[in-house]
Amino acid sequence: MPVVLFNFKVFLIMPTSSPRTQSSKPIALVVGLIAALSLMLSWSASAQPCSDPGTLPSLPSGPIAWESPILPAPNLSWAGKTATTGYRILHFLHGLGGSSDSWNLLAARTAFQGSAGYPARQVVYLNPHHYWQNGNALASAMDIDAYLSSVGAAASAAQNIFVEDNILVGHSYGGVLSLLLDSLYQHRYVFDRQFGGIIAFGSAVNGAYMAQALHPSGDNLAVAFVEDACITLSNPRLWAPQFPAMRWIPGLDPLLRNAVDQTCGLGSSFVPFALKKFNSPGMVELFPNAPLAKRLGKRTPSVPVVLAYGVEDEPVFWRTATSMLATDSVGLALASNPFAMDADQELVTFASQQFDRHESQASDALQRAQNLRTWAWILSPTLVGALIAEWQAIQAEREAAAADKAAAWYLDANNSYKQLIGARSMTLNANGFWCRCLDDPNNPSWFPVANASDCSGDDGCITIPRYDYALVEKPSDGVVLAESAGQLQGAVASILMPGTNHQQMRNSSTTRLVLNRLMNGQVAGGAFFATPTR
Amino acid sequence: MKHALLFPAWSLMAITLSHSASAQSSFWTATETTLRGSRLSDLADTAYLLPWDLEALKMRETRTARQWWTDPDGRELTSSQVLLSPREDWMGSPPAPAEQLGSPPMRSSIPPEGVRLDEAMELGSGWTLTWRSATPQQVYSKGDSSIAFSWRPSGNRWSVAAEERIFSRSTLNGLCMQDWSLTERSTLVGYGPSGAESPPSLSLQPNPRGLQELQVSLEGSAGIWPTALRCVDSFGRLTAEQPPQGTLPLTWNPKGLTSGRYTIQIQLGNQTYASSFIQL
Repeated sequence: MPVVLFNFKVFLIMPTSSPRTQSSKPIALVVGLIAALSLMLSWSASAQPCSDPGTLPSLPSGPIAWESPILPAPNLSWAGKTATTGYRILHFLHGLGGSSDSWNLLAARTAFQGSAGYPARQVVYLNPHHYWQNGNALASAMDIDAYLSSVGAAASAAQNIFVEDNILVGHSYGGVLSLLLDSLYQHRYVFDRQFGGIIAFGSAVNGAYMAQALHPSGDNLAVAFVEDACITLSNPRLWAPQFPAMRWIPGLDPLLRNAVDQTCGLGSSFVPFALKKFNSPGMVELFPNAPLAKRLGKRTPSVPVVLAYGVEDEPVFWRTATSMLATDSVGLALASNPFAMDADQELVTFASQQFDRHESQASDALQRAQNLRTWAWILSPTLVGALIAEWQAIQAEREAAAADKAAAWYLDANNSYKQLIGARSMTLNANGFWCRCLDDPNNPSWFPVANASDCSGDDGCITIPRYDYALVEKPSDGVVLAESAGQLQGAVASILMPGTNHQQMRNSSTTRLVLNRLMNGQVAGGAFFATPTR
Repeated sequence: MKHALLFPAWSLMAITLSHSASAQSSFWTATETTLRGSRLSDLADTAYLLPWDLEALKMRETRTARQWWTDPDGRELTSSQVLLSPREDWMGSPPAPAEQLGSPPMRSSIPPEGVRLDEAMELGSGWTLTWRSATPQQVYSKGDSSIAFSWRPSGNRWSVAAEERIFSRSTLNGLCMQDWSLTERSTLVGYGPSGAESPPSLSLQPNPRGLQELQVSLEGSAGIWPTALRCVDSFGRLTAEQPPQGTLPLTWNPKGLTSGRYTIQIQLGNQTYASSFIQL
């Protein structure tokens, strides 16, 4: 309505101010037209529903019919990515530093599709459980039990599977925890048993020497091993002539990474392998003299147990390191074939080449020093020039010494590492000296003397401390000794995996052979593990 | 001032040119045996050693046959062939030898002219050089570290008989160790630009030969590897050849030889040594 009033006011004033408006007819026509338009507009506005809800038509009243939501059948498909059917569940457990993806490719192929030479079995697929490793072994075992008792038990019930038909397949620490769970399940008033058999790959059921050697609470040698490598291999005298090949391992444990950064310098690190979670609390219980390790290996399990243990070929260290690197990198080959981890030669070749390179560098530097000394001799009349050449010869000698030490590192790293894992024990006892005198250059011979002072001659003599040493070597998979992973009282079988290291044994062609034999029922005493193919 | 600076350079160039001009064909060979390892400063209980220091205590032996020669351009070259290597089995075979610039460790006089015996010369950074008189030795030293070269007469020259290197270090857990090596070199065999000084002589046994194996040896050169072994008849035609089978002395049984006079040729680097035998 204000619009209408405004319009009227405007046009009422206009006639008095315009000299051309002499007739009243056009004015009346215009006023009438505007009045009519104004009335039409006001009616149009009042005709909107929101303007007068009371004029709206009412909805028809009556009962509301709710439709039931379409839910999946209660087969617990939510528990896993797939809901394969089967007669049993294989619960795959990773090792220390591992996760669900340690086993998931193999678990998937076992439940469905299979791979070349490995038929799928009638087992229900569940995501391999990732258990926590920030506590002791009992805490990890309780974590696994919680998973088995909830997800595992529910999935079993949905498939009408008796839980004691299920199998735990553990790698390394996972196998140890499986045996610990077996012992926990003796407490029937507390636990309900959730599996009826165990396959343990490379599990240190009698303790791991490596755990004690590397853990900060043990000998704490992991950091020292890396520091020694860094000091030796990052010597600037090696770098000057040729920048060495560098490798940076993204998955390196933070503690080791810190040691690398401190010793080698940021961005210039060479670390031959990654040790993940080597300082986790659970490792302490794997010390060979720890109560758990001492008891677990002596205990007769309540269920059928099969141990699969690896014995790696030499050089154990470089082969294991190759497989560790391959596992940590993108496993493209594993994506299509979960048993594709047979190759372990890469770092063996690398170490040999590095040894040869540093040997050659040392030889070149010594010859260069010899050439410089020749020049010093030629320049002897000009003493300053001679001294400069002699000084350069010293620098060449230092480079040769650094290269010698680097070559020795590549030569000895395998044996040093085997000491760390308990696969090599070397004891040296001092026993006098070797003596060699320069007055006998054409008939060089070393003879033993009790004291260095007993070694004397006209032209001077050289003595070398003489050691008697005893050497004991044991087969291993590069992490765990065969004697620890392959011996358990009451185990139905111990299966040797030749030429297989600790990392390979999850995904090698030998793994395929072991699992096929087991699930085919071809292992004597292991009928429990027989599982039909799809 | 500029002339003062350039004077030593002209002197150096003159010496270099004269040395180059005098370069003539020469060939020397020797076998080097090196013992290498770490050792404790004092005899001690090794139970405290870290694994890698324990491994380093083992003495490793390397044996190489080394040659030095002058090429047609007057350059002095050297190469070495590994005869005994500390390599582990898994390392495979050693790489093929490569040539590099290098002069033999020989001098016409020891010590150099103008050097005082038994008097340390400062080289910088704490290193000194001393020529010792008791044993003909050239010794570099710094603290507990030293590099010593023992010289011995070789014909009418001197050659390095032994090289001993000691570099001190401390282990990560604070023990004192030495990285030690000793290289002993057999007497150099060959000839120099001024004429034969100890000419190698090829020896064949038995001679005359029936169906027996030939024993091929080079006097004073046990342990040296030949790069080729050939048998030629009296007209110079090749009748038998075999690739290197190891170090001298060698046995060889060239077959199918008719009666007559034959010559065995041994190639050492760029040198050929020959000796004849009668085939019955």
